[in-house]
Amino acid sequence: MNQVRRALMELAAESRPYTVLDKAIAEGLRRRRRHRRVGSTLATVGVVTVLGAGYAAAGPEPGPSVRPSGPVATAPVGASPTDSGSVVGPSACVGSVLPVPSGFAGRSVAIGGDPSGRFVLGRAYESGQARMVMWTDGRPSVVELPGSGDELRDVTTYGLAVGSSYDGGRSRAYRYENGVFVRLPEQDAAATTVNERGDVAGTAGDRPVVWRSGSTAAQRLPVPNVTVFGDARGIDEDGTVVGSVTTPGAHAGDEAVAWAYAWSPDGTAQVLPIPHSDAGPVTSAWATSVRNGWVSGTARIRTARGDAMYAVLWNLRTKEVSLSDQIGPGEVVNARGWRAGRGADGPVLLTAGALIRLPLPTASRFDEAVGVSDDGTVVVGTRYDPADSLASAAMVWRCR
Amino acid sequence: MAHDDELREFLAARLDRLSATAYLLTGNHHDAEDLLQAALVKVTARWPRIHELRDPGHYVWRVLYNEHVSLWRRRRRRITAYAEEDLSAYASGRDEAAHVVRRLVIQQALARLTPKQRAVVVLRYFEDLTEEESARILGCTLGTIKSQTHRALAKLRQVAPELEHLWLDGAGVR
Repeated sequence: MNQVRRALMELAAESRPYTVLDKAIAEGLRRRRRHRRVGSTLATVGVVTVLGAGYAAAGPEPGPSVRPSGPVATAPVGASPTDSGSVVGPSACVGSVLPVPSGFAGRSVAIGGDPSGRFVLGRAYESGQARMVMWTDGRPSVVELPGSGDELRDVTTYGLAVGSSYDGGRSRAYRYENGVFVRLPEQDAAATTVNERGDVAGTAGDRPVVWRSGSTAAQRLPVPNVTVFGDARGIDEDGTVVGSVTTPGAHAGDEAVAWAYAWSPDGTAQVLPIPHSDAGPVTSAWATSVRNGWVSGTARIRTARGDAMYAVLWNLRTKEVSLSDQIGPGEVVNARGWRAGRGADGPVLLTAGALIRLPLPTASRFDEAVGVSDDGTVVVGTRYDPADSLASAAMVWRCR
Repeated sequence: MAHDDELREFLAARLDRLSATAYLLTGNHHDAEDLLQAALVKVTARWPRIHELRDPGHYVWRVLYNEHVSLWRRRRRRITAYAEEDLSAYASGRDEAAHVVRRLVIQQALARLTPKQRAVVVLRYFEDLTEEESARILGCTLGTIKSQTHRALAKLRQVAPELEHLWLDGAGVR
């Protein structure tokens, strides 16, 4: 999704504000007067059309229709916790809506959080325009990167965030800390992930790169010569980077194939093992997050009924890989190998032994979790109003 | 009239963003300007009622997207001509022209979509809206958004295989 977004942002940068305002307003006012002469019924019909299309009329209470509705808790569902290790996972979570910055209309979404649960990254919307927001201990502040189409993607426990924005149609990567942006070198670059040491990984010119802390230059990660695209999506504390590499299909006309990759701190690359599925052949795999040797990602499987996407978990130490049906693709992993994402009925936290529902007062099929702290006590995500998906709210769930 | 001062201010504040949307929908400055003007004429004519809505910004979007779909027939010939422009001159170019090539490839690929497919792609991936939100803007069903998104991504994959990665990331996951 972000790749499509990137392409459109790049194109949008070629646009310019068209100076049509005066002409359009003059012509519109002429039409309005003409309609008034014809009769007021015309205008009334127009309004009925608008309301019929699902647009709420002005009400006495403007503002978000998604509101905190008091704590809601549920017990875990599924298997009971296992005794593997001494860590017992949380058994229930309580959700609350993160406040929007003052002056915003109410809609917000969460993008991710830091390993401690202190920082949350997201967007808040104002008249259809999005602004980046960083919540610190639940308090929102607006962050504006230089350029347009800004996006912060990842943040450390001490508030060092990384992201990218567009300037003259070219993507530029940044690190952001305490109100100061530092541009990371490389053309057409985007920073997507950061570890506690301050190592940053992302892409430059459609190839995966890492900006090691303290180094001024980007290090290009090795990819096959035939690579069409490659990207880095997660970086572990030891400097291991995970991501994917897309190569052309084996024969002319075949679909391109994506491979999940891990690049060791010494720069050597390995293709992550392809999971086995009884449902059909795995045709592509992507690694999308890493923490403490656990890698989460997505596999595309060609089934009898068409392509399906599944969540995957790799263990870099044991080289084990498994497909999940308790959680959907696009999930994120924490230091214990627990994952947050979307289950069959709503947002979930999947620990070593339990599938914990992240409770919401109402359910929309868009509700999702996008980050989980290392100890599993904080999960961040977004809920949508089931009656009005134009209304969404960044959420935090506290679990114990 | 006070309403109309408010209207001017409202539109002026959104002109950059609306211009960008119009450009993505049409693919060239000339048509983008025409589209934006046609949409803003309608918004102005209806403003006394629109401005009472909870979020007039979304209504303006709706007019813009629907104008795009209905104006399409008049633009069709020109879009086709653009789509068939020979890119080999750019493609054989030097490294610093890579982003120019990429933009042209994207433009060319988008030009092969139907106006509704193109609108869906822009709504979902540029405006960052959900399928349900997109359905409301375009005044169609959720099923239509799903099928149009699917067809648009399939078409893009077919006409611009070099950009495979663009839809690998977006297809099917959500």
